[in-house]
Order: sequence, then structure tokens, then C-alpha cells
Amino acid sequence: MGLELYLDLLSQPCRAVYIFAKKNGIPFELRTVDLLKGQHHSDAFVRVNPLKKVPALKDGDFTLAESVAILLYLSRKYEVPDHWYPQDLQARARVDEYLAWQHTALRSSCTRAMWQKMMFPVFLGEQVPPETLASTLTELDRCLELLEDKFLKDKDFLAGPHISVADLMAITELMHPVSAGCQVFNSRPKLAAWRQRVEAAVGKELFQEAHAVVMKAKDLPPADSAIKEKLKPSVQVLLHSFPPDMPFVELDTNLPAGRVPAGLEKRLCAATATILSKPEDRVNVTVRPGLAMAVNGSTDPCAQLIISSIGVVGTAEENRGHSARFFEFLTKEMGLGQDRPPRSQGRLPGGSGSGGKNIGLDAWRPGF
Amino acid sequence: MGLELYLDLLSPSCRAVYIFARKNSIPFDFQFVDLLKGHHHSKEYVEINPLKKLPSLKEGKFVLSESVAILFYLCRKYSTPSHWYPPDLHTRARVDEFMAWQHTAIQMPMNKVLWIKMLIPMITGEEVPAQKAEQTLAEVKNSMRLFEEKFLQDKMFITGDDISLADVVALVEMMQPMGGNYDVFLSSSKIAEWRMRVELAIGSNLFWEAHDRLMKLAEWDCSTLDPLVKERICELLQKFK
Repeated sequence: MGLELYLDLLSQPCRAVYIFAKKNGIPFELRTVDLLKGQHHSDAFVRVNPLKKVPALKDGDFTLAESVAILLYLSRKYEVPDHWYPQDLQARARVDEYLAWQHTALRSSCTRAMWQKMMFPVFLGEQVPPETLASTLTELDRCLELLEDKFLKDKDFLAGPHISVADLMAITELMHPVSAGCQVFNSRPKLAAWRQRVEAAVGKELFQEAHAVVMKAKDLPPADSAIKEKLKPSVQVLLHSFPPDMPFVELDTNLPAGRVPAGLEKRLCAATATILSKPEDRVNVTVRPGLAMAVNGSTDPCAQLIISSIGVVGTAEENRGHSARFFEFLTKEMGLGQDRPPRSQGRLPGGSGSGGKNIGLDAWRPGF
Repeated sequence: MGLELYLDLLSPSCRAVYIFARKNSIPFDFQFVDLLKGHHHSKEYVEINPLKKLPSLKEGKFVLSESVAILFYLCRKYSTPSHWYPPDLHTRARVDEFMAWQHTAIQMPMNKVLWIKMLIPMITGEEVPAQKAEQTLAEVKNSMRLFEEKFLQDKMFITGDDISLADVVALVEMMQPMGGNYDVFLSSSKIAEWRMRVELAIGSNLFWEAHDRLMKLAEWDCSTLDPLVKERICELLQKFK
């Protein structure tokens, strides 16, 4: 018995191993382990991998779990082209760095995004609270930003000018939320370009073949109650959201308290929750009327809004969008006109602590 | 400026790198980045490592994060003895397998225990609900069982007769709950014996030196904690509720 690969192509790391083996012409027997049928818990499979996870490898008497370990094992045993796991010290370190990081970063948010957006409602018939999904998608966004800014940067592939196992792990990961309809690549031209390159390097046909199962997952018939019972305990953990950001909103104005609409702070809370897609019970608002303020050298009636959030609020473009909506809200509430269009300023707080981003709205003057 | 390692020995990943470098007499500058003061979020550190995590390695313009990557890099660059990362195909695969598995199976739950048992109550004044605490402890027990049955089995060390990177990483992570006076080694004599072997192979002096800051954590005056960091921790508590 030669090399056996125990895979379910529904799973991201299985796809990475599958693509790698096929691309490198490594002969293997495919042993399908149907996760949705709970086959990873069968006695036969547990003998192959007591960790009860896919992918798993069996090579004669030798069994191996963990996709990263499997990819490196195959690289060495079958002496694949150097670029997959380069000999060069620093290039290899870059691959190792990505392979280590992704376990607790991208993997987690991609799996949750796909399950919360699609598998829970479609397959398990379970509704996921919108705040949970929202916070998962925010976390996914954050990981994608790190992927782009910290790992990919201006390179063609994650570890340098050539495709490596890091790119396979990353691309199969990102296709998970894509299969659930998340627009991962639409607003990220750099990542989209990288995806094209990876697909071209792998070969379109092989890429599509590896992703056929997951791309059809949205058409799965709802699970019967036996399957639901079997799956529920292990997938419950995927319903946990990340700790939501707590946006802080401060509205400073030199308008006296009597001129500020009653209950503004409550309505501003609700508006913030809507605009930033955060749960309302996480929003903190402070309205400070009657301040001595001079804006651009003038003490005419004015207001200044500052929104900060522990955790990334958004890209500069998103912040501009948020600013506009806040401006719209305040204009209506306080009957303010504008001398000039508001500018949103993104700035990083210095020093220790949050690493969050602020959107500062420009102060403007009321039209009354 | 030679090799710089950005570390806070409170973090198990930092301890693994520190122990390995010291044990192999790899010369480096110890750059202390105080996690308790939130310095890993400081402008200066973010410039070095935008991921804001420890440990980091810096050698000239080359910056590397992720302890597993750093350990492999040091092994290769400084040609350390082969038992640390054995060249045999199957043995090396075992190390890779453990290094991959430990991120979510060992490091995360062990760290959670420290937070649940000590840091969260200390900082927020509130206990984590018993049910959640029990869940985490059950996770830890399960991981220890898998570690014993799959990775250690009846061997002296994970790869066989000699210590490797996997043993160092495993042990420093299992030590994490000790900072909160929770001893995971009590449940299995096999693991307790392995733990002693690893400590002796590393050298007790070096081992305890690396764990000094962790063991003194209970004495830390958390009123000095940056308020923004404290807020983040209170949010973390919400996650457990």
C-alpha cells in the first residue's frame, strides 16, 4: 500500500494538501473522510489519526497529522521544486512564519465566517445572531489586512517571487468565506491580483477541481436530525464571536446644554451602532455641551465629533464613508449646516494600549 | 548590531526562544518588551513588528516573528546539534506535527487557564463563571491526554531518546498555568517524569531563570496597568460570560 491521503475537500487544509500533491505529481490514494457525516470520529479513522482531524497521511506504517507537517513531509520525501519550501534561510523563514501565524489567525476567522454565514443557516437550519456574524466578519477583515500589509506587501507571493506552500495554505483558506458569498477579493485589488497569480501557478483546472466541493456547499440539502445531533456539539464553538470592539464616541460642542436636543446621546448611540455595525450595548457616548471652543479661530457655534474604537475601525475609505453618515446624522439632529465638507482624519494613537484608529470629523458650523 | 531578540519571558513562546538560544550559546541582545505595560503596542515596537506580538527576531534588516519560525531559523543559521530538529524524514515530521498542533491544542488553553485562574480576577476583580472555567480545564485535560497518548507515548522525549524543539515548546507552554498556581503535571506521572527530564536536559538553572518572571506574576501590582489595556481585558471577560 502506497501513500494514502485522508481528506475532505470541504476543509481548507485538505485542499492545500490535495493541490500540492496533485501539482507535484505525487501518487496517492485518496481516502475521503466525510466530515459532515462525522466520519472523522470513526474507529477506523481514529487509528490513522487519534487527533480526529483531516488531513491525515498514511505512508506504509507511518501516519502523520497536521497539514503543515504533511506539506513539509511531502516536500522533502518527493524532492519537489525548491520554491515550494525554499532552501534559502530567510525565504524559508518567511514561509515558516506564515505557516505558524495562520493557525490562530486566518484559519479561525475563515472557518467561522463560512460556518456562520452559510453552514449554520443553510445546512443546520440554525440562525446566527447578526452581531456574531458582524464581529466575525470584522475579525476576518482584520486578518485580511494583516495578510496584505504584513505578509504579501509588494511581493508577488507570500514568501517572495515564487509560489510556496504558504500561498497554498492561504488561498485555500480565503476560498472558504468566498464559498459562503463573502466578497473577500472585491475591495482588495492587491489580494485579488495575488489570487490570480496563485491560480495561474497552480493551474486553473486543478484549482477548480480542488474547490468543487466547497463551492457547492451552499447547495447542500439541510441536514437531517441525526446528522444535526452528531455535528452540533463540535460546531457549537464556531458560534462564538470575537470580543466586539467598544466604540467610544465623544461629541464636544459650545452650544449650551439647553440648545442640544434632548436624548441626543441615546440616538447617537443607536446611530453609531448602525453605522459601525457594532452592538448598541457596546457603544459609549459622551456629549459635552457648553464648552469653550474655538474652531479655526472662531467661537461661532460649532461641534466636534471623535469616534475611537479599540481595534481597527476601518480603512481610510471606510472611515470617510462612516464620517459622511455621522455628519448626516448630526446635521439632522442639530440643524447644522456646513461651511465646507467634513474631512475624516484617520490617526493612530501613539504610545501603548489600543492600536486603534480614530476617525475625527472636522468641526463645522451650524447654519442657524 | 548582531542578533536581537525582542522578548518578555512572561510569554511561553518567548521562553522557548530564550532557552534555546541560551542553551546553544547563541549570542544575542535581549530586548525587553514589557507585555504588562502594553509595550508590544507601542509605536516603537509596532515599527519592528506590525503584528504586535512577541517574540521577534531582528538581524540587520531581517525581522522575523512566530517562535516556531524563529526556532527553525536559529537551528539552521547556527548549526545547532541535530537532535533539536532531527534530519530523519519521519522524526522531523513528528516535530513539525507537534509544532503545528500545539498552537491551538496546548498554547491557547494553557494561556486561558492563567487568565481564568489569575489575571482576570486580579485585574477586573471578577471571577470567570465556573462553567466556563470548567470548560477550559476540560480542554486542557483532553490536550494533556492526547499529548501523552500520541506524542510522548512510552518514549523519553517526543522524538525518542533525545530532547528536541518540540519538548521545549511543550514544556514552556505547560508551565504557563503555574503562574496562577495551577499545576497541570499533577494529573499524569508519565508527563511529570518527562517534565523533569526536559528540565534537566535544559539545565535547571537556565530553566528556572527563564520562568522567574512567570512565577512572580502573582506579585505584580496591576494598578499600574494601562487603562486602555485594562479595558481590553474587561472585554475579554465578557467573552467568557
